[in-house]
Amino acid sequence: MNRVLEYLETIAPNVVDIPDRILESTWQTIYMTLIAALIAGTIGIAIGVILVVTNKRGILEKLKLYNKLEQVINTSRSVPFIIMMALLAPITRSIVGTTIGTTAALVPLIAGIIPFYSRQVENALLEVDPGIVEAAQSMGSSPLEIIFGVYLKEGLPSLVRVSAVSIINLIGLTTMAGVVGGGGLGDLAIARGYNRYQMDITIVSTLLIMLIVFVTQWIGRVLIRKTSH
Amino acid sequence: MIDLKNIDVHFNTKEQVLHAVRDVSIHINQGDIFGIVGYSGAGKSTLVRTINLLQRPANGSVQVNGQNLLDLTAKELRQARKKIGMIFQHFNLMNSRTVAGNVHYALRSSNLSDEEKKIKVADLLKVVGLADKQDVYPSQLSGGQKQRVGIARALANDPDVLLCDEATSALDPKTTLSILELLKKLNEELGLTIVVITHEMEVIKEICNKVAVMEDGSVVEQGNIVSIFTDPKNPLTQEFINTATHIDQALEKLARHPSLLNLNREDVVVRLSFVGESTNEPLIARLYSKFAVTTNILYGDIEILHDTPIGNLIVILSGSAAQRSQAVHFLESQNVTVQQLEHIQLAKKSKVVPLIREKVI
Repeated sequence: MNRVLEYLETIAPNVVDIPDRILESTWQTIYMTLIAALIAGTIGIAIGVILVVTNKRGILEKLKLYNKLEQVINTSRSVPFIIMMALLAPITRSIVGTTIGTTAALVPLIAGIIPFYSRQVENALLEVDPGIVEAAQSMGSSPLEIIFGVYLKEGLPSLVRVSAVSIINLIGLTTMAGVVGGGGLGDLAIARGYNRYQMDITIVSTLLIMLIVFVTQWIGRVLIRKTSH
Repeated sequence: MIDLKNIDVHFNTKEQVLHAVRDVSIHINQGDIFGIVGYSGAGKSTLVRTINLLQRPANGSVQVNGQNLLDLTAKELRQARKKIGMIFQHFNLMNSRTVAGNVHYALRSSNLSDEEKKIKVADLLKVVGLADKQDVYPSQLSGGQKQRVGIARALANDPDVLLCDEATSALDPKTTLSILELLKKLNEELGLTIVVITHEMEVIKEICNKVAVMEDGSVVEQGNIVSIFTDPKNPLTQEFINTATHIDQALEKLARHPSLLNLNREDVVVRLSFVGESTNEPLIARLYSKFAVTTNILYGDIEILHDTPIGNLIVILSGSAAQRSQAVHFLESQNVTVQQLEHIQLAKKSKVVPLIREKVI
């Protein structure tokens, strides 16, 4: 055991010095990703569904609403995330009470991923065969029955796929949370690893982020296999 | 049962207005199997979608079972749709649900208890012959089996009407027949009114008692199946009938093998068509015994449509002019339509066509 530690100390001296900090950063990344994914996921699915049903030939066609929504999404997607964090500071303060910290970082994270995820959800649901929707209509299904019984159920494998992609995207965004004091592995890599020339910290942070990404992809694959028939 | 009056449907595209259905009126009685035939793009699918208002017509009225569907609220319309089943060319089953799950979906908002729904689903699957496939997913079924699930699903709410949109067009001929048999059985046993959309006259021939022929959004001819088959008025109808009875193919083959038509001066090629009773007479034998006219049969086809035999023969009649003329008179007295054919060369292509100019046989 001692020899292992000794060995680690020679190749990654700075990492061995701050094991607690590394654990904490990892947890911050996971925390930000999970909570943001949960909240943005719910809102994103709702917006994605609205996009699909209000679009042309949708079951509740309302082109005006669709066009408005699309405009908002396109506009917000064009704001770079790092700037969005600064822009949203007043809103963050009104919701969380502060603009600094891991929880405060959630607000821009959620706002940043929703437009992307809504689009992804829309595309996933558009893959549902319109014939199946038509069949459901011919059976006298109500719009709500079609949304939950057809779109979300038939589109589940695609939804899982785009969700995995979006979560990985979200993990990427969390690495910028350091700007507002959100911590996380990205902050660790920059604030400690880069600024203090502690390359080993940067490498370990990168490996940990990659590990989280791989686990997400793996869970996604398993779920897709489970939900496709 | 179903009463479509002056239905117009048009689609607005950027460049133009597309008239998919033009002023179509159709009346379908309880228990009918009503066929709508036409080439793709004729507007048949659009027309059938107006029956359950999946497609709202621009003009006209849609009455099903005494209810004017255009007057209903969204909720009432959903209720009415439950009594109008529909099956599709590509089956449109939900891939995420098992066979039983697909049928069960149709019963979602019914008042039955869970236990009753389960029994109903099992019964429906038994009716369509898929009792052993309950827990299988659609991806593991053949086309014919998928359509059977579609039928079970369409029947879940005990509909009065079943709309079939090219329901057999994606199936092979044998499977097509088995699905048509099932539809026929449902029609007879449940008194189900069925509307069949197809581009295949074979399908119409197999099950329909009435037919409408559509072209370019309009119904060009409609009526009872036997009268349409024996006396088609519209050229398009004639084309469909000739394809279904294979007369066109037969004429083509004869044209390609003129040796079959090696005629001498005593011979004529004629097409004999007859309906019903006369098919029971030994006509060909009579021609020889009565008039000494020999008959060489080149092609023959006898269809039985709703218990009425319909026959088409292409034959060479040989005998002196006087004998042939008597023979033809005799045939006509037996309600056989006699049409003389001739072999012509048109732009280096040889063809066998009905003789246009009057000529004494």
